Amino acid sequence: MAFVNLKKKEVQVKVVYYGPGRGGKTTNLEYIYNTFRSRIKTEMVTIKTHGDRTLFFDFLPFDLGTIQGYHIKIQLYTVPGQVKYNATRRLVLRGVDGIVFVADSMVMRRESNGHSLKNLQENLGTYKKDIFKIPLVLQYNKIDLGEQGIPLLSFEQLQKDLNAQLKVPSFQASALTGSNVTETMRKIISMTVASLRAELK
Amino acid sequence: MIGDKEDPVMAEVDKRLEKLFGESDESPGFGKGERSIEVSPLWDLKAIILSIDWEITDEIMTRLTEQIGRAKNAYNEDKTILLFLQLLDSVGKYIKINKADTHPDAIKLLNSVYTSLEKVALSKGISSAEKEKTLLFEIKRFKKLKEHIALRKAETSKREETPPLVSEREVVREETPPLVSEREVVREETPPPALEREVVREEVTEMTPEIRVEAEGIEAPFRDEAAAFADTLEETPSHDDLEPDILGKDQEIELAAQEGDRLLGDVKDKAPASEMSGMAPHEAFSYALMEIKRTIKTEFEALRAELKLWRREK
Repeated sequence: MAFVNLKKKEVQVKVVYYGPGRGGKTTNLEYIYNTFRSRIKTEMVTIKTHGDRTLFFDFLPFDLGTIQGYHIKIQLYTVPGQVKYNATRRLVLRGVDGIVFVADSMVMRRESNGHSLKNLQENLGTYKKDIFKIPLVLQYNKIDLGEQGIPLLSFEQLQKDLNAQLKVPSFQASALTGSNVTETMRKIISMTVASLRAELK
Repeated sequence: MIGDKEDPVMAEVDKRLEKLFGESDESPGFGKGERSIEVSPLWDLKAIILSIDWEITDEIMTRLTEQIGRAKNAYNEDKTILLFLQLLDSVGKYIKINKADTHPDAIKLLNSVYTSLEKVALSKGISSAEKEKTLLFEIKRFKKLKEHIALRKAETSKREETPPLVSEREVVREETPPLVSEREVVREETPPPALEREVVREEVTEMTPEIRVEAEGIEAPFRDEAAAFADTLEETPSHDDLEPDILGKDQEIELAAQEGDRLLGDVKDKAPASEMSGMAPHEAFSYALMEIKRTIKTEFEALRAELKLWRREK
């Protein structure tokens, strides 16, 4: 449930980018920040390791403005994808309202996509949240690698692997070039706000 | 879960999202005074450098070199940018050679040099002084990395030159008689405490007939301490699980003596160092051998003592 401050008339919406390591979660946020920083007027916070991997999380907040008297604040987070950082992932998921699952389209990462989605379901379970009920968007990232001859999973295959049961909106994207990055984000924000409204009614 | 499009709140949310993230005439990613990278020769270079962050392959590194070459052609009139590209080239070549063993700071430097290059190449109105300042900063980082790499190499080669203790111990084990029979003899010959064994080993390694007498002198101060240490060991009950004492003390000494004979033939001369000068060459040589054996035994005892302590701690 989102943080609602009735006194300040403020709603904080937390969206988490989840997925396997090296899948492009941080690149998603970096693209959004680099592309729209002049409009969103906030700073992106990121904590990285030696090899530029996400150690704790990335954080990109921005205001959506006041809607029906409530100030809507969006907070985008990423989790560290590496298997060993599960405790951190779980911590970042606390209070999550919407999730973007960033899958890696490379054939060689097929298994890690499945593991990560399963891990998401388990970690949501610790907060008594259901992966089938929470606003969720799938993003099949790195489609740009196909041009370089790197074998990629087809959209159909990825849908079958990851979205057969979930049946949530999905996008083929390239966080590196920005293709469908904004669309993914807009979709999850829209879905999350709608879900919150339904809960608050 | 998807919002009702007729809901005024959701319509307002969509409107806000469009305003914030919709298409605009402004080139994305660049504020005023910046040129778009998409139309610059650096576009492909950036993609390659970002992909190095994912994996380092020969193919990617060759593409990096090629792309740097193209960028050099494109910027052949700008000396500062050429120097930036030269830096990228050098770091890239180092990464290509070392791959997974690359110093972690090298990838960071590659990214940093590229970011600075992009800033210098694409920002409008940036002064020459600013460009040079940015370049100097990166050169400084490059030099620092070179120092770190040189230091790491020196440390590695130093480690390689000094064989690990374990292997030395293995050699000693192969050349010495069984542990049980040797231990008591070693104790009689006053072993140095474990801390001194490195000093003794060095002396053994470098020992020549000429300086051996001096070595005897070096060892002498440790003897009292070593005797005390040996006494403590004797007072403490044995916990040697691997080779329990099944022989009597006298038997052990006898076996050790026999083993010593086997190793050194009939030479049992234990002449003091001062007498060495009066010895015939073959006697002096035998004496030296005896000394070496004694030192090895001492070393061995120290090792056993350490093992015992380790077992007790465990």
